[in-house]
Amino acid sequence: MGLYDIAAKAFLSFRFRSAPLKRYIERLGITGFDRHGRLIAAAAQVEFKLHKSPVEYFEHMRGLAEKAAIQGASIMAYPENIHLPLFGLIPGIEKQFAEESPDTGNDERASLMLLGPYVKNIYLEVFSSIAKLYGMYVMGGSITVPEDGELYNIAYLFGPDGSLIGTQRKLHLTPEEENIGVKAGDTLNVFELPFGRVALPVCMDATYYETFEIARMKGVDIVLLPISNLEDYEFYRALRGIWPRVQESRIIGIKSALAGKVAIFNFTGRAGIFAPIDLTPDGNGVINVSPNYLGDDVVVGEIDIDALRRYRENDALLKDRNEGLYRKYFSILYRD
Amino acid sequence: MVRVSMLQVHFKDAGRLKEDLFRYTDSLETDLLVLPPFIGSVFQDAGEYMNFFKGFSRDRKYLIVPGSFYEDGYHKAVIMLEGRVIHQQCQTHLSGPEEGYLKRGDSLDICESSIGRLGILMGNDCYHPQTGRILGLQGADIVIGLYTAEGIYNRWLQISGIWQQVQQNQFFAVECSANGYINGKWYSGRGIMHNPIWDGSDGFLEEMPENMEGLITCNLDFEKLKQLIKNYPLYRYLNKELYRKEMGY
Repeated sequence: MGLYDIAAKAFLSFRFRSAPLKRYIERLGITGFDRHGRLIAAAAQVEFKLHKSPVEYFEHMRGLAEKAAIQGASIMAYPENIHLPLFGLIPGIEKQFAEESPDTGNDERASLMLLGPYVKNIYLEVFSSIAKLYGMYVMGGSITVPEDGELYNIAYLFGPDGSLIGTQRKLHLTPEEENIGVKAGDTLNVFELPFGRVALPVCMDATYYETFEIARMKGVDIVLLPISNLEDYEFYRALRGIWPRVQESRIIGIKSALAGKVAIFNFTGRAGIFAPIDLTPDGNGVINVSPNYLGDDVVVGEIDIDALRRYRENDALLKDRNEGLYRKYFSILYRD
Repeated sequence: MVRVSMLQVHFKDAGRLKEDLFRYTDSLETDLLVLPPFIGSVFQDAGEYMNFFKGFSRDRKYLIVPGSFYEDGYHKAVIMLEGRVIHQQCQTHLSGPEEGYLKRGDSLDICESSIGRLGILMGNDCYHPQTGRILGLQGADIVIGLYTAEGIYNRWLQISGIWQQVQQNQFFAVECSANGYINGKWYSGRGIMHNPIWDGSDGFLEEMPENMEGLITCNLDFEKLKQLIKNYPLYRYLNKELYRKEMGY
């Protein structure tokens, strides 16, 4: 390790130190929230802005959680790439974000490998605390960090006591992620919660029906999907992903979105809660969705897991399978 | 560019259908014409249906998918060129009621043609993402969708079918729907020409409202499709190792 690395790590340890954040959280006095025995889910739409301190970042995330808790939410989802606002802790980052480098793959990878542990430390403190403060299950969104010597895009699930229940590595990469050497996960994890089974695939995982097919096979009731779409908003473009997957697999989908413009990054997306068409009053597969595709929002909706399970038991589409056909073709087409 | 057409008509009897068919396709210039599902129901039997459409197709230079028909316990569709059947497809997924009187097809193949590789999805096949994936991974360029939804029109239900297949497989689709009373049941659906969404497009190249009658035609821009796939090759990121492990295929 050279002097530069030592200096950089010392600087990052200082900027990303969690002690002041812990002290800040300990001083917070938050009382309990009444859940009325119903299952209310919340999807956060988080404005992408650069924060100057871990406390500022925490307050941004906590504000959204409080809105959800006031409305009775007991499970909440945050977006993909939720570490990006934390990059505001790095001096001069706005200037770096404003410049498009010709070949940044290796540089970006090195940066993420270096920053990862510091980002993860703050992330875990923030979302574990939010879960505990509000007594909610919290999918804290995903962060791209090193694990076992590789970079992964990972979503984390926390319980109402603040404990880490489990994680999910993104299963389907984007070309940009491939370019910086992010590795895809190889398992879809399922978590048994008191009200149902949940899974937390990440963003592009919902472009591929196979993710939700596997979730359905494993008995998942709710998919919490963090997204961060780097594109101009267009209704049908944004409809791809979780909405059609919910219709095919008869699973409740909760989509949390990073939304906002910083330098060259323009994230758009409407947080929403989706269900099979037959289970939504307007017959459109939507329980609730944000009216805006930019800025902060918290979308809540009531989920009736018993009704979902009854529906699935009698659903002609789920029963209507042609296993012989799938085996005949996929045993060949899924070979590399 | 490939020029594709879709005719949306109600049909009560063979006479009226034939009149409409000749009227709408008179001087039609296209590479592919798709007709609505269940069209075979106005003919005495599959033999009469096939004979008529072989004759109709014989003098035309374009490919024709003459809707669908029942034969030997299967719901089938074919692709014809100049009087010859060049491809046949049986519906592979059945609705609850259909299970009582239909058999499932056990193949889902594509067909080489002068305008690209074609495949057919019909009835409930449209809602099952496995079907589009099977055709797409075999290299389908254009999928013909024959949409059969009973009851009052629901756009979201239709979009949960072929539209999503197009988006997650990056092929074109020509979707033709059953409309009106057919065999004692009310059907409604839109005729839609689909493309995978690219800049400046929402994925709907052309669309005809449910229960209207008429012909729609549009051009499929294969250069744009090629560019889209080059920029974002969705299949490159399939996690086949995961699928094999979790699904056992």
